[in-house]
Amino acid sequence: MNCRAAPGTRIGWIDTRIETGFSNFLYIDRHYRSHPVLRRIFSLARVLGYQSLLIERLDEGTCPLLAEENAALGIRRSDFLGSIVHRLTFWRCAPDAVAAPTDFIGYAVFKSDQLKGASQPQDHVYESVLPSVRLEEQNNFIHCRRSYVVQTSAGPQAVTGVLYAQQNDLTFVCAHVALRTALACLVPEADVGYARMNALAGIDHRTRVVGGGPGLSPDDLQTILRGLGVPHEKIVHEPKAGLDLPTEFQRDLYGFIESGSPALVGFELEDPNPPPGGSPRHIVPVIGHTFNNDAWVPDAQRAYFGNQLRYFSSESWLSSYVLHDDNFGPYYCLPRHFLRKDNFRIILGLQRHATAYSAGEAEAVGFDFLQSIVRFAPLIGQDWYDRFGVFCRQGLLVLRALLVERAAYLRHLQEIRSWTGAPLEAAIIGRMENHLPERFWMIEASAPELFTASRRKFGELLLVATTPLPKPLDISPLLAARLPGMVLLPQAGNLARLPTELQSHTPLFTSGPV
Amino acid sequence: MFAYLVFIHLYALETVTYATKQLTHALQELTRRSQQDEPKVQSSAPSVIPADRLQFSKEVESYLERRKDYSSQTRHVSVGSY
Repeated sequence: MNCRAAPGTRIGWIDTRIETGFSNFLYIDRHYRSHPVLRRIFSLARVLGYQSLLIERLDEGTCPLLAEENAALGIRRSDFLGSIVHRLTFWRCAPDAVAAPTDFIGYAVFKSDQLKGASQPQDHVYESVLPSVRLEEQNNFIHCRRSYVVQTSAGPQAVTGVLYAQQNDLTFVCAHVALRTALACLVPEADVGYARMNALAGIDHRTRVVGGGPGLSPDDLQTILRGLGVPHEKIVHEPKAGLDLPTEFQRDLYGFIESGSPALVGFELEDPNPPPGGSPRHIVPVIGHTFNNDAWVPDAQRAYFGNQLRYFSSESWLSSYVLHDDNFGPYYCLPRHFLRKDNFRIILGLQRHATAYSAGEAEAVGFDFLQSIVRFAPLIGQDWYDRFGVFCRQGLLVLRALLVERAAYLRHLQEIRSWTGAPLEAAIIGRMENHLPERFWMIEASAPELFTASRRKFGELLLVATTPLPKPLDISPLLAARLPGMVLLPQAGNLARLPTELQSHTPLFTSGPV
Repeated sequence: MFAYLVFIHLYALETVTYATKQLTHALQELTRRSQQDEPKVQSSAPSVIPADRLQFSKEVESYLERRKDYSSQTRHVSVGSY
């Protein structure tokens, strides 16, 4: 049983409205030893409109997950005496009110580990789930958030967000908590405990320990992921080992999160006097991104800074990555170019399903296919197809690659309408349904102004995702292409054109409800 | 070196400016045709695109090759601790 399902013993439910004189700072100073991450969590709760705080005690006797963590601590530190755990839940209603579903904001579990002779317990936020303060309407895209149910003493409540966790630096470190966040987004049970991770990585707290310096290696992380059956891709940049990533790591990072999966990003810290083993490293889970309609970067990068791409990747409009950093708290924004390649070391991109090649590769191949189609049919006398052709020939298309499920794509096809309200014909959707595999790469093609302002596109091209690309490239990876006025489907080794009344641009694909 | 960089930047700028000019010209041409109500060429759109008419660029093949090589080179690399 996890910390959400465990029964809590109520300590109090207090009014936290500003007009009552309640201060987050004062409360945390007095009750939680001025814990900085808790201050961040309370400040997010304030922004989300919290009016009251329910405090409950969790005991290891009724929460096996805590008992498991404490057993590990007992092995790691013979002076471990026990822990005090509080589950704090944030509400938009008054204390003891009958809460409506919208009154529940989220929760944090605060764990204080007592060590013999220590003047202060070792505190950490064991976990927390809050909703993101900003969502799609504010150009924040956190595709991998999910819903969690919390069994509070005031009844079960639900919160949708991304789980945050902080290391205790004794039995689990930054890599563990980053992995826990990422796994919580993907695995059905939403909780993979540190005991399980350590067992998979061979950390028994006797012959091999973590914390106080030692952490997890990339091999350990991959061993854990393999042990849990989670597909993943690794992107490495280790210039000191002579391994210089030949491409831009941000494109790969975007590829993972745009397909709805989290990614772990590891970097080397700046250290003027690094120890013999190299500078210390840190790893964080990246869970989403922000988007800037008015970004100057896409045009400027190509016009002024020598980017030779022959299309705009949608990633160019990304403003910041959204991440949790266990040292500081949940939902921070990392400006796109703040983390330089000099410091970047690794991406572990988790996937819901394994793919044979990356989003960046799919985008490049998709562009090649689109160019080929336009070379063969440059103009067909339909305004929007012809405009698409012009943008393609001039190297001014915007492309966005993401892994999609067949069911979600078919739903998208049923929903889309042209500028004049025309749908895609049911017969064509039926053919797609019979023809498409379970999941595939979708490369959406748009124009800069269409993509950023109307969030619409000329169409999309679908590629097989689970089979490696042939060498030399041929038509075999192409599943379909939908462009203004036509759908192209492979037929007897060629591409058959099906005409459609859907002759203008259509909305971009958006992921379904969490 | 500086002169070389300036050349590269001016080259890129010129390329994009040229592409934008070409785009403007092509879009204007489409508009002219549409406004003059020239006969649509829809019927001339091919019903089948033969696979052997699709051509793929060397740049993409070389990009894919570089990615594949680097991925094989780093598959078993594990450096550092987090």
